[in-house]
Amino acid sequence: MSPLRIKENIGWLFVIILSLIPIAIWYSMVPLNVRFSNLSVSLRSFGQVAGLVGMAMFSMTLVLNTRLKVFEDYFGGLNKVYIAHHIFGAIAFILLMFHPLFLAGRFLLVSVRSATSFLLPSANWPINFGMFALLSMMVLLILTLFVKLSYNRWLPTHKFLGGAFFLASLHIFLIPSDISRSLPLRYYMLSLAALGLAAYSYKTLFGSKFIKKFEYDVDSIKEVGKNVFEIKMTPLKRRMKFVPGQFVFVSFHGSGVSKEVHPFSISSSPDDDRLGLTIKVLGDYTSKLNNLKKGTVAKVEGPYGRFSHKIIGNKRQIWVAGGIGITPFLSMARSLKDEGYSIDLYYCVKNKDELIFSNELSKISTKGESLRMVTFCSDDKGHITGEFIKETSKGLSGKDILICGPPGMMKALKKQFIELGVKKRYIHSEEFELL
Amino acid sequence: MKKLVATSLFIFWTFVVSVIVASLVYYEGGRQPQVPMPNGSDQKYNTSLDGSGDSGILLSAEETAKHGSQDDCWLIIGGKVYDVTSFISLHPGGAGEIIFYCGKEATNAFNTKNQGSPHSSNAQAMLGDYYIGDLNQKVAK
Repeated sequence: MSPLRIKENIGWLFVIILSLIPIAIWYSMVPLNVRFSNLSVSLRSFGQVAGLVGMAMFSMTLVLNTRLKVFEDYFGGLNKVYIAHHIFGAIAFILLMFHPLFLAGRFLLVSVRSATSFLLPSANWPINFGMFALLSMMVLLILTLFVKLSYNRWLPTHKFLGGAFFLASLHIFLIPSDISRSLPLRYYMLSLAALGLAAYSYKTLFGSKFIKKFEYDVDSIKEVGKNVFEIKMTPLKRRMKFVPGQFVFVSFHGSGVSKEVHPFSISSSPDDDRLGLTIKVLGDYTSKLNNLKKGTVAKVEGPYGRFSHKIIGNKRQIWVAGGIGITPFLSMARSLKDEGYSIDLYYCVKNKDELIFSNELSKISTKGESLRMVTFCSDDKGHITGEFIKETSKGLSGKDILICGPPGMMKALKKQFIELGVKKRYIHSEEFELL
Repeated sequence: MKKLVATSLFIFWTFVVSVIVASLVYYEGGRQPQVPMPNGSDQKYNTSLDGSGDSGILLSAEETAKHGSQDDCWLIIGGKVYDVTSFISLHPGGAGEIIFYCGKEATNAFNTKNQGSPHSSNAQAMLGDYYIGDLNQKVAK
């Protein structure tokens, strides 16, 4: 594995280690043969482990949500950081659900009634805090995972998870347990809880004060294709530096459009004085973007992402774009100079009407030696395949492959490339569905 | 991942609901038949086992074992018998930590809290409030 890609995975390892440290301390406190001497005590031990690791991972998900740039280096881009946020969040949730189940199982060994009184709220507030934390987590995560809310309705619900985390922190410090008995474990869990709450305050409670944003002025807005708009903006103060292929979080502050923050790919070249975003109207928010007027102020947070031809050392590349997934490649193509790149771009759409940028891209490809473009319409030829790309690109070996498009397309192509013998480390993808 | 979360949610609620339903059914149907006594006698009118025939109760291990539920919980700690029934819900370590020992010898559990550290002197003093008598001592009902 190249050094870059090892670094891109260290984040995962780091989170796993931080989440398992509580078990190490717990393990050192009492010998395992005591911890698991009979069924009753074993159930308690399982419950403790589930609670400790679940809480540690819950804290990590809040930390990962801060979008600190340093995490991008260790996960390989912000979208990968969010994938980690989802996965560790889900594991934490599952563990925290099993935490009371194991403990209730222990009461079940005594009597059904004692298990019931354990599972129901009582005068014992430390336990109640834990219950309320878990119940609010359930409601909020069911909304996230199983109810399709629109982005601007979902986001405020998800923010309440910080409240669940606060209740869970109260629970772990008020309840008599191994955390109250072991000083190292107490300090460790206290630090994780403080870290989680600090991350939550920084990002969610006071994000508008702490997080630096660039201010831009909307200069022009043009419908470049059916439901596709290109917005050009000029910097009000400082110009944001970025690598082509990166994305930003933008909120527009003007009449006719709400101030929600949304992620968008940058489509302009870093050499361009103006910042360009190319947006496809998909949801209820983007449908209002054509109300944007010249002079609307845009607050831009970023840049984020590690999806760029510039970040990959290898100059022989294959780019595969599906539909609006062309945007990061637009930025990359527009920034190409004679730097020795050899790139085959596959521009895949449904039909010719959607080939919005093919004219501009073919101009770029005739101007220099670096870029060749192949257009592909699925209405005519079906879905593009790894085999087709292998043939038309004259082999896949020695090339890095960059894919950006709908999730189904990316998944299918990745699988096909791996079956064709391409190593995973040569395949780079930009998951658009960030949040 | 989504499926795993859904499965866990299902297990969680199935467990919680069935435990609660089971305890309701048990509560409805199971109130009358109390835990059968080893010697078949009624626990409230136990005759002493030392043959002296008067109306006291001998605080034996057998007698203590009859008080082995969370509604009637005796413990043997350091050769003394305690009736901690009213304390169970107040126990800072959770009711659960006591009810596993109801009717049993709990000296070691009390001294170590199962984790190696003893109870505070305050807890030791509180225990005194629940003292009935020494083990194998005869006390008036």
